[in-house]
Amino acid sequence: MRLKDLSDKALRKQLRGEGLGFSSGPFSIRVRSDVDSVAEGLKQLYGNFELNKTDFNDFNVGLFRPYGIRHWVAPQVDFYIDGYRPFRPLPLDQAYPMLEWGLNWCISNFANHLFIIHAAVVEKNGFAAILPAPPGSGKSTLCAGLVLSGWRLLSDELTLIDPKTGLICPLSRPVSLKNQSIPLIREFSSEAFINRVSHDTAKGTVAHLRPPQDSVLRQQELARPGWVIFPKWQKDAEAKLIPRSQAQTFIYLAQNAFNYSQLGERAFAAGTELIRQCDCYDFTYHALSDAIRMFDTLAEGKKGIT
Amino acid sequence: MAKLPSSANQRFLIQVFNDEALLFDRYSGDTHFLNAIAYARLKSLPDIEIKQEHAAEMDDVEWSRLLESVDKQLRDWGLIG
Amino acid sequence: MKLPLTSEVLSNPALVSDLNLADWDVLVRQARRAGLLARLAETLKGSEWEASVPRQVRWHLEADHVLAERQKIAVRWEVSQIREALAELDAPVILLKGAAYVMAGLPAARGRLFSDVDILVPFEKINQAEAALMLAGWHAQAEDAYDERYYRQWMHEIPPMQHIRRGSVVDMHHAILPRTARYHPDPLKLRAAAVPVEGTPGLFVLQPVDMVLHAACHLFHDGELPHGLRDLSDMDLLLRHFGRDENFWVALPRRAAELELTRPLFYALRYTRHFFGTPVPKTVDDALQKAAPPLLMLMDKLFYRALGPEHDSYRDSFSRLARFTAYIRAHWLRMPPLMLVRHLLHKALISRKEAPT
Repeated sequence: MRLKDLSDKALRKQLRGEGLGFSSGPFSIRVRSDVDSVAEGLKQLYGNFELNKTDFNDFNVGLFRPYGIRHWVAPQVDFYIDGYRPFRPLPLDQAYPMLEWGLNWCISNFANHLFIIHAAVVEKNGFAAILPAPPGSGKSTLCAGLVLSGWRLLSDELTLIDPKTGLICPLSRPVSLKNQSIPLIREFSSEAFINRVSHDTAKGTVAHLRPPQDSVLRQQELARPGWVIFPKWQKDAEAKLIPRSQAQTFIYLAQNAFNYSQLGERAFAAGTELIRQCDCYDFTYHALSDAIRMFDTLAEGKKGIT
Repeated sequence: MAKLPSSANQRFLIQVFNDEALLFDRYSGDTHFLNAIAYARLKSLPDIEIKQEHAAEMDDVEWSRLLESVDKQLRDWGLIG
Repeated sequence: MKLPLTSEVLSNPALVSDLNLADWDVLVRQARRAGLLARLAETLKGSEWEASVPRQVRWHLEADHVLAERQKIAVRWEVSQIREALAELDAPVILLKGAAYVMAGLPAARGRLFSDVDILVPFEKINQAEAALMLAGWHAQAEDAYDERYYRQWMHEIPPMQHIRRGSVVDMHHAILPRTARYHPDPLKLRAAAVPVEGTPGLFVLQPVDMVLHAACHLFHDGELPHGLRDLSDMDLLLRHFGRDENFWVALPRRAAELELTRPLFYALRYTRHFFGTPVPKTVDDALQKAAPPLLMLMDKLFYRALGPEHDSYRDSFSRLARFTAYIRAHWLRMPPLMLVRHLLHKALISRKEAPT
């Protein structure tokens, strides 16, 4: 049964009760919440996710409105994991994004059996393109554009590498978009469904893009690494790929990994193995469609390689 | 100063990519990147060769200063004696 | 009062074959919060009950096991750096607590997560030791001037010292309990009985009975609530290990009396036995009977309460890319860099216990 098969009423009932369970790649997640926008967000963005009712969940999360004055005055919402609150509360308006951020935090914090890099990752023709980038580089916009153009979404934030196999694990969760990306992606594709905007005073406005059905259905399919590409949006720039050194790329990845230090030797082995299989580039671009064409060309280049 | 006993094979893991190298120090957990010059130096290639290959245009004074700083770095990290 | 599932399983691992998924859901969470998930993982690893761990649960154990293994390596490195820094001190450096367990190869090191390295040096050498550590990159970490004065003048202690590049922390003591504590075990007696760590000259650990008494002090000093189930578990492992030698049980109450630590020892034995079923010979109970506190029933109620989980705060930082060479210094094992966390989250979400940068 998929989430979209649940009636609105049933969905809300489950959220307020035993919780709503679904899988995201290797993880089973159980969400509980008394917040309307969370129910709405899940309904709109997780429709294709398979529901599960397992007694053991990897992450038991909750989004609840606090008791007391903050229930009514400048209302807030708290994020719970395993029964405790690791963060300060946020304005109620940001409850849905808080779920996404909170889940990302849980994964990057606890899943130390995987080597986790802060990067978007998408796949085509059997190879994954890893896109590390500091915020503001347009990584999420590019990621959104690619997955709306036939690339499979693995994740927009967390690249999960299994040290045992060297393969990348998908999460297939909604892609986070900010500010101008939101109208840009809406315009880019009529297939794009973006949920209601949350007004985030620090970063601007935030919304999430529904993951393509194909990506969700294939969320258990691991991917082989193919490229590490550092995107940088630059006004009026021509789409250009500039090769970079694998060893230097490794250093960047390690510095932008969540658990490089914690995994030590294991991460060194997994990371060097990964980079050995990847073509590494710096990539500048302006028009999203040009960027996608460039990526497609790369994918063509690896087509048929087994 | 007493250092941890180290036999280079036991202590360091090395991965080479073209003419650059990455080393992992299993004692401290530190990771080192060596560019072509530093890696060539680690391999004890003759410095004239290294200069020719990677820094042909550099003047000799600058070159010897560069070598010194590279050597110092390699020593600090326990990669050379 | 029902025992926490974590302590039940740790003291009797065979129980895992009776657990269903809902039980595992509780166990993993509870153990993780108590800082004992890695210990649980290592207890089960290679054991006959390893196969009883459900497939979906396995990564949780493995993930914490990976952390603990890595931390052991980090502790060894820190200890080697501290030893190097204090090489000229001309006095034995005694390791305490977790670092001692690791360097002495004790079962109490199993699946343990560390934060600081605690060392004991002679009182007359403490200023010299501080200077030597500063030279090697550690700096006293008082939060502010008031805090600093509190440590130095009132407590006669040096604030914990943090390494400027690695972020690791050394907590240096000249006595095993603060001046303001109720008990004052004589550090000279402790040092006189210290045992060298094999293979590392200049490094010592407390002798077995003293190690246990020290742990007991910290658990129950001044009638405060225990630091957590984790510390009790350490105590349980120490007692089971040293207790294989029957002379240990003879010496323990005797040494407790000598150091005037019979009350904390009484509590320690009582509560490790309650939570972990630690085997303690009757002779020891008899010897300690007089040490029972007047309000034992009340104390029991307090200590049998659900033990709070541990929640270490972590921090990490990265080195710059050098011109010809780049260098990622391994960092003392703390949470994902604040920088990255910020990118994932709204700033306002940063942990309640946000580490100062």
